[in-house]
Order: sequence, then C-alpha cells, then structure tokens
Amino acid sequence: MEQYDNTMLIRFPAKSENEGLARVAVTAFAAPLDPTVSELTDMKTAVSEAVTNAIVHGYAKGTGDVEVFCQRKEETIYIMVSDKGCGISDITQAMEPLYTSKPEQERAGLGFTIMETFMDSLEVESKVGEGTCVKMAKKLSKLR
Amino acid sequence: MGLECKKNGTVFLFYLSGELDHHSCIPIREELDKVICHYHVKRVIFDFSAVSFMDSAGIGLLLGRYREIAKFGGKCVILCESEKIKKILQMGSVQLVMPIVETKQEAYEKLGGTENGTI
Repeated sequence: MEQYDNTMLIRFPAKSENEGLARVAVTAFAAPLDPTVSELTDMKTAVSEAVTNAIVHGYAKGTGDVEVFCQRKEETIYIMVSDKGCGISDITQAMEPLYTSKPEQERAGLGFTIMETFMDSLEVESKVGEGTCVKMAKKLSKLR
Repeated sequence: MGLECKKNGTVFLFYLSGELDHHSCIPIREELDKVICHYHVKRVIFDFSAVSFMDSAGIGLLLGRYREIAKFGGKCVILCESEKIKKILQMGSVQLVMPIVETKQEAYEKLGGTENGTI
C-alpha cells in the first residue's frame, strides 16, 4: 500500500453552504506545503466546482452526503470528491466545455473544464444510480 | 459575500465582495434582479475589486444579469484586476458581451462617460 505523508477525509450533507467549508478544508490541508496564492486558488476553484456539481447535479433529486478525501505525497496533493447521487450517464458529454444539464439555473457548463485547467490531472468515474467520483491531483512548485 | 449598489448619474455600480460561489450567488442574483427590474438599469459597472474568490457560478450570475439589462438596451462593464477571476470570466466568454477593464476611468469610458460627469 502506498504511503502518504498525510490524509484528510471530510463528509458533509449536500448543502450549498458547505461549498465554502470544502474550500477552507482543502486550503488548510495544503498549507504545510506552503503553496503559492495562485496554486491555492487553483485548488480552491477546482474543489468548489466538484463539490457544487455533487450538490447541484448528483443530488438534484434527493439528499445525501458529499465526501472530500485529500492525500499528500511529497509535493503532490490528491483530491477526491465523491457523492452517492444520481451519477452521470454520458461522462464525455458532461465534460464538454459549455455543456450543462441545468441552463435554467444559470450553470455555465464549465465545471470540468475549470478542474482540468486548474489541476494537473482529472479523472471522473460515475455509475448511474450509484454516484460520481472526481479525482484530481496537483503538484506544487518547489520554488517559493 | 456582500453586495452594495450605488448610483452615479445614470450609471449603477454593483460592488461585490467576498467569495462568489453557487451558494453566495443565490441571494445576490435575487437582489440584483430586484434593482435591475425596478430601476430599468441601463448602464452598469460590476466592481470585482473586493471579490476574493470566484468559481464558474460567477459567469452564470453575470451572463444572466446581462441578459436582463440587454432587454432594456443596456450595457455592462466588469471592473476586475484579479488575473484568476479574469481567466475564469474569459473561459465563459463573458468578455464578448461585457468589456473587462482594470480602472474605474476605463469602465466609465466604456459606458460613454466619465466618473465626474456621467452621461
């Protein structure tokens, strides 16, 4: 089993007020690595998008918990955001820039695009009726 | 997250502050729509100077309000210095309908006036 330098798991109900909580938790988790303001903002933005997706789409009909699991190994932060919501039937379509299933809610359809742009890697696993898991990683610069 | 509305001549200034996400956008959208509808707002500066964080919810908020304002033939400008926020706005092509500027003077110019002697 791979050894991580640190891990963190937080779980909260799918309420929009917890989007801020998730950002603060990830910021605090990354703090010992002394990330730059830009790196922190990138991670906060990506987490915000993933958690919002879980709340707005995953649990659009019904309620449940969202989990944010963070791991740190050397200079890399791994973030997993998962829900046990409705799942995504067509991941390729969901990941297309500007695609949104909720235009009436003024969703820009850029959640995954932002996660991809601001993180080094992005993987999405989803099963209809079972939920979605978004895995992201970011290697922080050593030069500070 | 906060919102303060001010009027300078015919220009409405919407000062946003704090963290702008899906959660905080909900009450702000309601408040803005009330003001826009009540005053038939035609010239708007969205001031992002005090916004510390924004995700894609901000794009929806701006484009949605723009659609309302454009119905009355209005114009909007975004005052924003943060490179991160600008990058997100540009990913949503917001700059195609609302110019993004860095100074108040430029913002008033885009609306066809000046800060001291508005249109």
